[in-house]
Amino acid sequence: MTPSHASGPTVLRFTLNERLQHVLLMASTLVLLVTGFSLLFHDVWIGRWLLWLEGGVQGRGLIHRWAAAVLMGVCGYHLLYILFTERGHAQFMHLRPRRQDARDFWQVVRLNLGRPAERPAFDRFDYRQKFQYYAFFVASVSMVLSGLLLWFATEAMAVMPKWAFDLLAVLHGRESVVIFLLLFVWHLYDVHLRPEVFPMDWSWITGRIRLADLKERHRAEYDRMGKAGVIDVGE
Amino acid sequence: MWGSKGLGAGLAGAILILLMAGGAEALTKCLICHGKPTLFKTLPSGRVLSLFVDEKQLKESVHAARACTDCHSDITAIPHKGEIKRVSCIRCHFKGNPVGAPQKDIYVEYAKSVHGVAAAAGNTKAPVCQDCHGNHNIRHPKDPASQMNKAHIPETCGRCHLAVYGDYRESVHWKAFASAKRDSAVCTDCHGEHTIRAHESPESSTYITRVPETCSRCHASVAVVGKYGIKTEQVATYGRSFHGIAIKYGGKTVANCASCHGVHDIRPSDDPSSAVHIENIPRTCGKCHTGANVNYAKGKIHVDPTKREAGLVYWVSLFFKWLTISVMVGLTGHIGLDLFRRFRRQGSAH
Repeated sequence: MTPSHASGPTVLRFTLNERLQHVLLMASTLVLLVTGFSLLFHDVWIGRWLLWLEGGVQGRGLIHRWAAAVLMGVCGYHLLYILFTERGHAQFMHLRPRRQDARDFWQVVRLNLGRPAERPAFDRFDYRQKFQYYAFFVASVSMVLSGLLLWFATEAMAVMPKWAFDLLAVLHGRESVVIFLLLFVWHLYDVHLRPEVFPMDWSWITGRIRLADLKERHRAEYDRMGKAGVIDVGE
Repeated sequence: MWGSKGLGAGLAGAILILLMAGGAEALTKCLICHGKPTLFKTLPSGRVLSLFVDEKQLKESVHAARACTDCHSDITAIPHKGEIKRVSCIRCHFKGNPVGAPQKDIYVEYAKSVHGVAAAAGNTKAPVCQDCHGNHNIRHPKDPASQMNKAHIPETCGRCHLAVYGDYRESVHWKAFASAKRDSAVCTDCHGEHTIRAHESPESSTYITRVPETCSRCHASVAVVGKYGIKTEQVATYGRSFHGIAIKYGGKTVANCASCHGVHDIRPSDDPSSAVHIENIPRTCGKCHTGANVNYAKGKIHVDPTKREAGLVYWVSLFFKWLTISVMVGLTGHIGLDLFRRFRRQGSAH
């Protein structure tokens, strides 16, 4: 196994703009999870400790809302980015789910079970990355909407019944746990703990991926780039 | 000043008896004058104060064996002259007293109580021991005839706190108590006894952030309210609500139990005059949530998302429970498989 930080020719994978979007999304989500969980787990030591750290219920609410504003900002910017920039739109098109993703998934499962199967040649984004993108997309939209209604509850309740408020509160709290699992169990495994990237896939900071890694993990893209003459595939 | 005409005649006899019998017969001597129901004194305020001492009442009290001068210690001669001081109970009721008068540490708390502080500051209306416990009629609080017996506490407190007493008599607490539900709360159950504080004091059991804790002493206990068919989970659901969490961490602008249910005049929710009756909920919520409308009454207030009666909230909660479990299982399974293949491949490469 070759270490991921080993030297070799690299190619740009994420632009600075995209990396900044990711950093802001990551930072705001982390703050939202921490401040949200301190409310969700207010009756156990970790929640009590976090609440103390955040300056009580009031301070917690304030930090949570500021982080939410950052998240909404970056989400809004991302929507504009994928809709109105050439590069952003192209990325979004690469993320579209295709039938091939289901086949890739099935192949990986067979492979992992030790059954005879071809190693799938992933394109720019593999099925896991696509799934995580859409899961986070849906989660962000529903968290932002439910969060806004809870934030402006007094105004919302001019038209919203009490049970809907309770429903949103439950949804907002329980969904955060699912988001936490997707991020910490799956996404962090993918970018940190997977043997071929351990201790970290550096592309989120450097924006670059080694050609060897591109060939290994995104074979279809590697071939396409080679054919287009963007990269030197040798031989 | 003296209203009794027999005073002069009694004087000679009183001195005679005093010389003959000493302290043991003090009561008999005192009753020469104070045994007359007509003995009274007109105070400077114009109020007429009866000076009659009912011997029967005194003999049935816990102080039956005490002589008058044991308490009225400033009387050294009969007839006594000048202003008679208020009795000070602490003359006997101190720790380690030789006569065996009961004394608990809690009595000392009185000095820090709202009553004790006011009395020490010179407020003559502030109650001292005998104002609550009684004077010549003093009995053990367990004695049904004691004015400190649970059944008489509202009446005793109400002698001064009249308006509150009026509200309380209409409350579910008094109605329950009067219908033989003797666990129901009287004044002291919420406010405390010797420790009583003004509700503005953070030490008070009725201070804004301490109300939930005070109510939950009974309302979280199946042993207390459970036997009357009152649900105990209201305390837990409040604790999990935004109000409950905020108040636990010192929030002073959120609702505690009393904010919605009322204070002395708490009524059951099916009573149309109750603050938590469904028709009154918009107004009650509106005390804090400006513009609260009928939407505030649509849905359960003490909602528990894990209970079926929560309706749609329950189903959403259940959905997320299973979603969380499946995501957990799915992800660990997926990762597990991934690692399994890698390590097997690595193993076979050697």
